[in-house]
Amino acid sequence: MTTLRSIIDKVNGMRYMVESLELCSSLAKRHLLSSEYLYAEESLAKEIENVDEMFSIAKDAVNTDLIEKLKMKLGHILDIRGSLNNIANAAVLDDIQLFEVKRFALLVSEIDALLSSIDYKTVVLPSLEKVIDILDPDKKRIAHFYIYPSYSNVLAGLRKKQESLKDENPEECEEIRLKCLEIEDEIRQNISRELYEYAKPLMEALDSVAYIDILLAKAIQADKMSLCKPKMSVDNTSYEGLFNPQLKEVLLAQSKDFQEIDICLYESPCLITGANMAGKTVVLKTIALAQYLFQFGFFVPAKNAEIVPVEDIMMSIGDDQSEMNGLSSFAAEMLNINAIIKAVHSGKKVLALIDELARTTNPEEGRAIVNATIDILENGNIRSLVTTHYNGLETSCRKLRVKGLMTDKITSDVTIENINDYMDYSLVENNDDIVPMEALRIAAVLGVDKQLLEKADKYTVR
Amino acid sequence: MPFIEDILKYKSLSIVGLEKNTGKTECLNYVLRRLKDTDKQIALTSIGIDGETVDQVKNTHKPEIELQEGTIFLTSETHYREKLLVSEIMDLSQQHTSLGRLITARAMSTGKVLISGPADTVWLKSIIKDMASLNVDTTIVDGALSRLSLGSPAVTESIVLATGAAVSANIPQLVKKTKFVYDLINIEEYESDIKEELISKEKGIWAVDADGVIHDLDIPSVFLLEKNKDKLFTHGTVIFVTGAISDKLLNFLRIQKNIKDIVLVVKDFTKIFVTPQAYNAYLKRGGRIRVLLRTNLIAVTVNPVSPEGYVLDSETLRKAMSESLQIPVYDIKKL
Repeated sequence: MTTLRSIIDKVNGMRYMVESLELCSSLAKRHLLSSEYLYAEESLAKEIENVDEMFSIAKDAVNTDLIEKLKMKLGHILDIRGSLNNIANAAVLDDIQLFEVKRFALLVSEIDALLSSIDYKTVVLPSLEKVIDILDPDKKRIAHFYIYPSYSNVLAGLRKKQESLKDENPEECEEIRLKCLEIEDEIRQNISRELYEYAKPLMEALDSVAYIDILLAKAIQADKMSLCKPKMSVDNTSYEGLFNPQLKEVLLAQSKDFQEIDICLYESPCLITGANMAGKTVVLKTIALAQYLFQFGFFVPAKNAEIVPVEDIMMSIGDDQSEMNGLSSFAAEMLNINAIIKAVHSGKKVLALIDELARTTNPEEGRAIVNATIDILENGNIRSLVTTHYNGLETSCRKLRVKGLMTDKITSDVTIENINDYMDYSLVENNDDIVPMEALRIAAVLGVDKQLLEKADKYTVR
Repeated sequence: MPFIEDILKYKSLSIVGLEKNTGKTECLNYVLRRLKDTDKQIALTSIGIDGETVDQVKNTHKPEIELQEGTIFLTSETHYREKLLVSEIMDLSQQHTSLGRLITARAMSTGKVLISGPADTVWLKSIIKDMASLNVDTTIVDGALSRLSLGSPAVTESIVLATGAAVSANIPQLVKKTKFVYDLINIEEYESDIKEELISKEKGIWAVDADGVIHDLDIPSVFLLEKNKDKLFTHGTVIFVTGAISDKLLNFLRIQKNIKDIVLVVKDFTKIFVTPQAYNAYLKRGGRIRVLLRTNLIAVTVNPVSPEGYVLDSETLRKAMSESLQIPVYDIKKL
């Protein structure tokens, strides 16, 4: 079972997305991290619809006030699972735990009232009125708690007596105090026993408020980051205006724009070529992120998205810390590729994303590995994207090319600071076998030693 | 009712003992008892104690602070469970201390309770601020053990200083030691338009020139002063040190040629960690010291009983102290 927690640091940009969610409670954060990767179409569709519904509610200006109130209430929710487990285990709760339960039940009823006011029915909160009644004998509906005198006339009388005897007769007073404690303990036992019946609705309420918090946070994030509601697709995954939210923010801080891209993945491998610094890896990482976001029921960073749900997303993107495991980068890559090939053989529905396949070995064998891998990928239930610098590949698969440096637009000196302004990151179909030869040019922009460049230029077979 | 009226002028008060057993708790109980007769809402908390002392305090101390009905108090879950009074829980913190979360409760009867508070002054400050929403007029902070730093005006607006035989069993010695702390508390305020700006500086050593312009002297710490001697007076002789003031710093300044022009500015008296010898020698040579924030000292109380059982003559002690400090001094046992 894949949970969000297990992939959050494996998928580039996922932590950023999770951290930028405005979750109101830490309870919701824990729930979110334990949420599962959804594959079954029905549950996935339902999740997306739930976010969409909340998105419409949160976006409607009429509800601004309500949303603020809702967020405040959700923010007061604490993870009282410990106290609830005690109830379910028929244990006796102390005042602090009873206080927690009472405050929680009151909050749930307030949240329920807010949601009812807009006729929201998707997430149903169980009624905790009975729980409140048990813990609020004076019907004040204030989230305070102690063993109120109204629980027992005897207790009320003894407490009064104790107070009046305080200065006169300390010994008797202490005796009464102990008697009071005894009665209080009895009352706690009774209350805990009465609450036992409501252990299940209390637990459900805890899960439900956490879920509402998550839906609201996803909806607000979708609005703030201009994410779109992904449509479920059967054949092709396609993005219009795909962007990387984290990179977009970084660029924005430097007053630059992220160039959105359009891409469509058919059920066959697709090769991407392009110059260095043309953003091929970013494309792969962003597609991986978008697919994961979709499978965990988030909106995705694009203007339009139609996505085919997959059982697994497999990546070979060369920033593994493989050296740490004693593997060479080639060995680590081959093991990743092997896992993908195995998935193909098993008939699993997979999205495979492979960055610069076989780049760390000699070009001849490297090219052969690319050809072979693409051959196998063509025959599986798999959508894949492979980036490469190799030319002379003998495959008939679909090829895309990042446009790269816009040579005709270059007016002044290209530097590392402004190179982005002259890059066109959009993808075009590329059916001839020409790969861009811009490595030296870009090296020059990076300010690499002149002698090296001149020598390299001589060696280049033109 | 000595000094009770003064307490009510402030939103927060800390009761600080110069040593353990200087009668801080008695003083607190006196204050709480007297405040009952006013119509003001009082809240009580403490500042957390860490490490070993937690266990010491937990195991050796029994609840000894007597709360009056209606008083709001904040204490840890652990101590709340040991309370000897009836109280209503009003709130529970999300943050944890080493003794559990903090509980805000209202005493529904008179009785004893152990008070433990937040672990740091930042949290304490936010608690004091939040008390306004519970209609609290004055929040009292029990200065748990001898922590003068709590008396910082950055945390509470006013303090009561508890001293006594536990500090010294020799009256002149005791008076001398107390007088020194009293002098520090009463250091004159640095009057200037740029005070707020100085307060906002969190680290470093700064100079204020004749035009009131603040300069970063680029000296990382007072410990590196000797190496950066040449930089110190490049912008005049008003020097603001954000960190702690030590003997070494005062001794260094004292031997400078321009000592009579030097004004050493510190945030408040709790930043001064010097011996009376170094302090007095610095002043005697003509050096000046000023604080940005001054604490409102409400009263000094004395406890004539030492923990070893030695009892000083209450009247002699009180008089000697009062004469030296030039303010009324109260024997905590007789209040």
